[in-house]
Amino acid sequence: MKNEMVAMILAGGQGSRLGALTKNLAKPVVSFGGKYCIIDFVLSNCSNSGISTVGVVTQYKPLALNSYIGNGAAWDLDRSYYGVCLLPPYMGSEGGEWFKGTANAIYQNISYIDLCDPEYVLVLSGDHVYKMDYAKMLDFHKLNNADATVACIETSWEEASRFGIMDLNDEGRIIDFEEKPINPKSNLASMGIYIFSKKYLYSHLEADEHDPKSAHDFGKNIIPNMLHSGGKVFGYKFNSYWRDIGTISSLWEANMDLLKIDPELDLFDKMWVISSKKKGRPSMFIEQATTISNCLIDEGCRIKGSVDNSILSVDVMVENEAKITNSILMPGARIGKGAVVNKAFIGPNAIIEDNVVIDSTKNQKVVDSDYCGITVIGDNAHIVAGAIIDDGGRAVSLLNSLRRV
Amino acid sequence: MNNVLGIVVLAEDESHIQELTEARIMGAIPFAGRYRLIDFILSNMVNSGLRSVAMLFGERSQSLLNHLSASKSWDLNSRKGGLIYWPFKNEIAIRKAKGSFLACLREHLQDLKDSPQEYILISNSNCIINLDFVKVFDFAEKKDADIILVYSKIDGKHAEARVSALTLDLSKDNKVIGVTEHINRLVTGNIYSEIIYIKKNILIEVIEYSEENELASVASLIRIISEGKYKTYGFKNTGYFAVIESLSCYYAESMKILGSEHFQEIFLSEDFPIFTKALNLAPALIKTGAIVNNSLISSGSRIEGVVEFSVLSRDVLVKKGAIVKDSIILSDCIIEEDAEVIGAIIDKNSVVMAKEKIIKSDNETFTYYTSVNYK
Repeated sequence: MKNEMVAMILAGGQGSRLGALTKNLAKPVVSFGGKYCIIDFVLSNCSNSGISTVGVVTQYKPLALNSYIGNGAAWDLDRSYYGVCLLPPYMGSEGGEWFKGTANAIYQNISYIDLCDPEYVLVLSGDHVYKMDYAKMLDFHKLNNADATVACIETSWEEASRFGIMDLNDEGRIIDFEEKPINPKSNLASMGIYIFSKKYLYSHLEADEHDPKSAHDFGKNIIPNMLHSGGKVFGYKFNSYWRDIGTISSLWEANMDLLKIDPELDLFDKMWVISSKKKGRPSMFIEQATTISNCLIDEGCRIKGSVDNSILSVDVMVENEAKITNSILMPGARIGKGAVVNKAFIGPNAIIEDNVVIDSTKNQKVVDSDYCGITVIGDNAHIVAGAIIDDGGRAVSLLNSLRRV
Repeated sequence: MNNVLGIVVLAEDESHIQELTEARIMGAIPFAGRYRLIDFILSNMVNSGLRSVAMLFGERSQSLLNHLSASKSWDLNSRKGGLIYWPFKNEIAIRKAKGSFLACLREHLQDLKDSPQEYILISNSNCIINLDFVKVFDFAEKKDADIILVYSKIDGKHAEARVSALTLDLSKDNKVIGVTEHINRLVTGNIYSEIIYIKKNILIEVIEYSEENELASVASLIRIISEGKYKTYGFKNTGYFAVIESLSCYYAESMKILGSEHFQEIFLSEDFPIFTKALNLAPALIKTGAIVNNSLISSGSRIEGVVEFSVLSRDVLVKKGAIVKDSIILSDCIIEEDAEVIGAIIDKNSVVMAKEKIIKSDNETFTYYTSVNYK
């Protein structure tokens, strides 16, 4: 079995801007869209693109991620040759260290890439939501006889300074690249998706490793260095739905995008199916006369209250007279009788008792903060009956270790 | 429980549920939205610790095999044992025997002898049950029994209308001393669940020493074993139990699931999840303007119309203005705009056209509909 290309998924970051949602697990396994974890998209893309050798680089709170990925069977990545492999930091005979940056994470796993012996290395992020055929990107890379290809997308000008911004010539070759510029000259943003010819990548990783000033980051160091040294680096333009899940508000918005009429990211598309690991729960059960409108609802849910414009993950329970609006309820969350939840994330297995009110949209402080009026209740939080939460959930996440508020 | 081989016999009498078995065998009939009938007994066996389950089946098995190909879904993708297929050849004779598992097992006597397990748990595929069989195994050990027959005790108030059933006569210490056959009537008493736990050497003995004609019915088998030298006991199952033997029973049991307590008992037991083939489908989408009440909705379904007191399988579309009430819609059906479906079982892959009405008449409890011609 010859591997043409191996995918390396960077899934080790902390995702600290997701607050309580990543307190106990890595960002790639944060629940998304009712049935999925964020990493399902990139794993399914690999599988659908015909890539069956996938290394997942882990570091921060890897337990949930490791157990979720398992042997990769959910994405057809449980192969006799290679398949999916989890790559945690490790000790060697001369000691060991944490991954210092995205490039260093790949550098430290060169032995894995060698084992798979591909011609090309695809570097991906575990926290992006999109559907992309990497085989087409590889064709583009080969057609240009490129050393490296960076996927890019036109973003809004306001957002441009969050990304690596590039300029392309007529052939698609990158002539200018700036990581997170204050005054962006273009709105063509790097998606953090790279294809490298293996040997070329190795030489740059090696040089970067011995550069004491380097942050060991693809966007900040590797790509600019490749350009400076005259490497053939091309931009592969992507023009479908793509979201980098960096913040609470971007996670909330990407979820809400699924509830739009004819959403850009079609989960019902049979040609590019997004797979996820299943628990084998019964069909969702709407138990009594109630109003449900514009919702995605997963298996195992039992609903007695009213739910509007929301996403309910597996095994969520909503009791009588509860009122859920504009919210994302994660696996196993339980909402008690008469509770009111508006514009919130309710974390996995959180228990919201009767008559609790969760709504921070009228708290100007939260609206102006990076939470944008969203309330975040972390996993396993227990909100006692009658409590009112309008501070974005910050008090809850501080007290989360007590498990009661 | 590595010492127990499960055997599921897919040779039930299908004459009263022909509409749904035209395209598939009994065990592959969809039930409660995302499941198929065989999921229940199979999950019970796996949850009780069995690691090997043999499937005995004849023709029309495509649907069943497609379903079971995901053996991983039941954790039966094992290198030792796992799911084992024992197809039978003499389908006509076996069907005539109306579900006698001995006739099918006779074809696989050598396989049975070769299996490493010492105990056998045999069941049909059409029962809805949530029972920890470990209780049955423990009971057998306590009684030093050769054979255990599982039954449910039904009193006069809850008499069951059955196409065909056996009741057990039991002694004070639950020894089986006789058996009575009932055809097309209300049945009460110790109703046999068609689940038998038996020592393998005794099963082989019975098959080897019985004449072909004696194997024709389960009743005669039970007579042989209970009147003979074997120690046969009844095990009372106090939990949920139902047999799907007719279309009306299928409709009634499906509707019963919509009662909260039944749903809870069957599906929400922590230790006894019911497994089924995992598919990659999006969560169900309830669109703006939809009205959904008292219904089970499966993944991949999209609803824009009205759905009340109904069970929807996977990938069902209910378009704007359509009304679905008191109905069972199997997977991949499309209910077009302003159609009306009331009191109906709509078979897989059917399309109900815009403004079409499929409504049960006043003198029936339900009606069956398919727009697909399987012939």
